[in-house]
Amino acid sequence: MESKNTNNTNAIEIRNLKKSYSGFTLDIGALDIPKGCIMGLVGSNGAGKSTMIKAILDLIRPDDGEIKIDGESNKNEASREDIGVVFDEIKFPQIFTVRDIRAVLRSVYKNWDDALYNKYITQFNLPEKKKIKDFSRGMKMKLSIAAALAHKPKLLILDEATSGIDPIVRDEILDIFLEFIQDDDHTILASSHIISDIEKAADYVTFINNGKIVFCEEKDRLMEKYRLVKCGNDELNTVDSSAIIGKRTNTFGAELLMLTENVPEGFVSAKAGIEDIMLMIIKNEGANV
Amino acid sequence: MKGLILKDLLGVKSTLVALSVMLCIPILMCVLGAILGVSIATMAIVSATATLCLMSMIMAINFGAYDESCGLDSFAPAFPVNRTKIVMARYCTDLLVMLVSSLIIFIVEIICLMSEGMPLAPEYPAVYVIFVLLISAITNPIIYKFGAQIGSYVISGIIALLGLFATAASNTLGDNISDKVIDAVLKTIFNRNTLNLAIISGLVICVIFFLLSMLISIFIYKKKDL
Repeated sequence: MESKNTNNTNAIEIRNLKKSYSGFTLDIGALDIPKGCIMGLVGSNGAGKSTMIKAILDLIRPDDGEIKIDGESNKNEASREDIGVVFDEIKFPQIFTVRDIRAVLRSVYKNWDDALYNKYITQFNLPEKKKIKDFSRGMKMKLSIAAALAHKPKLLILDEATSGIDPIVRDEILDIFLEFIQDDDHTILASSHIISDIEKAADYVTFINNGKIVFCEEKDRLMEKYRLVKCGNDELNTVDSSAIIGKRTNTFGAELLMLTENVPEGFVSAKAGIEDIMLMIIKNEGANV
Repeated sequence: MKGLILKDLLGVKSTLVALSVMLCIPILMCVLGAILGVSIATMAIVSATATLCLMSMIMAINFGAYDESCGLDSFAPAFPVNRTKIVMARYCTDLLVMLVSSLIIFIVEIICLMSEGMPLAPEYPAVYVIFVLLISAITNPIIYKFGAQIGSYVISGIIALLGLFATAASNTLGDNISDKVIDAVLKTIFNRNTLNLAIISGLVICVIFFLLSMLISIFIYKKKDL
């Protein structure tokens, strides 16, 4: 048996991934997700985030391309031993209890740790005998997280895991993820519509639009790279249009998204948030990214 | 694979409770028959066999339906288990349910027949096994291809078509032809002289059909986008 290459610096490597559906094509040229980081995956509905996650998990059959997890093909079932997955909905029958999930997953994962699962169940105050259908949404997500972490994964994949949850529970869940990432060998790939969560926790941000990666940047660099420039209508006419990445106009003038180095002298500019960057790029599709 | 089998069984635990209650009926019938001095052992066994056939058919569809309703069918391949094993686990669950149910029929038979001093009739569990193998072989590839909801419609359609075919055959070939065919089949099965050959041939054919069905399901599931 081939020994596992532990010298990989990337948790996930994607090359030339293509998957076509009628009216939509996912086309990822190359994407590396370094170990030890939180990669935030952002994009509008139908942009291709979930399709990409499904491809990583080998749930869909790509038309072309290769995906490696910790240096091994994602088609290798053993590589999935180190992956924990949390979707936006709990993926267990509603009549299951905390105990049932423990009984099932104990036999599925070699590294399953009952004590760790019990620790999370106690920490999250989840009742052992209650059926999932009687759980609140927050409780269901906590149970999904406990199940995803109890087999000690190295890679945690979160697909809209914090959506529809109140801010207090979301904050509690984010703390768990931040605790998980303390280990240098651990990685999180999180897709979310809640950009504030990504801004709060992510080290890197990948923005997908229409099935293609628009950018994949370190979050801090990304925030430094773009600026929001506010200008009046007269000033707007003096700005080089090729330098404008995105534009939001109003009766008094406009708000422009520009690369920091392209901000004209004397113009008032402010830090652009991920949401501003994302929205302006989507609205000005094909602009000068 | 053990975990996936357990997942299927835990998913239908409410059906299993209903089944246990329904199985009490033939046993009660037998007790009542003994009290009233009426021999209803055969009726009780037929009732138990029919109940188990029906419940096995429901369970075969429910295994897929529960997974589909919560999205587990599209999540299970994210487990460190390959798709071949996921399909094999489903067929193993069907086999496990079949074995336990056959044993239940056998126990009901012992209770009913022995109390009336009649010899054991192995044809009842055998007929049940043939039925379940066939149902499992037909339903699983359909469920893997179309999903449990559409699959159940397809299965209902097949049953309706068979009924239509039988009615058409009866009308075309003469009166009571379907009754005659059923009579002939039952006589062959329950005739002690031909029992072994008929049952064994039926079992062999159904086992082959079951294995072929498993290969088809594996092929479908391996290619499927979830």
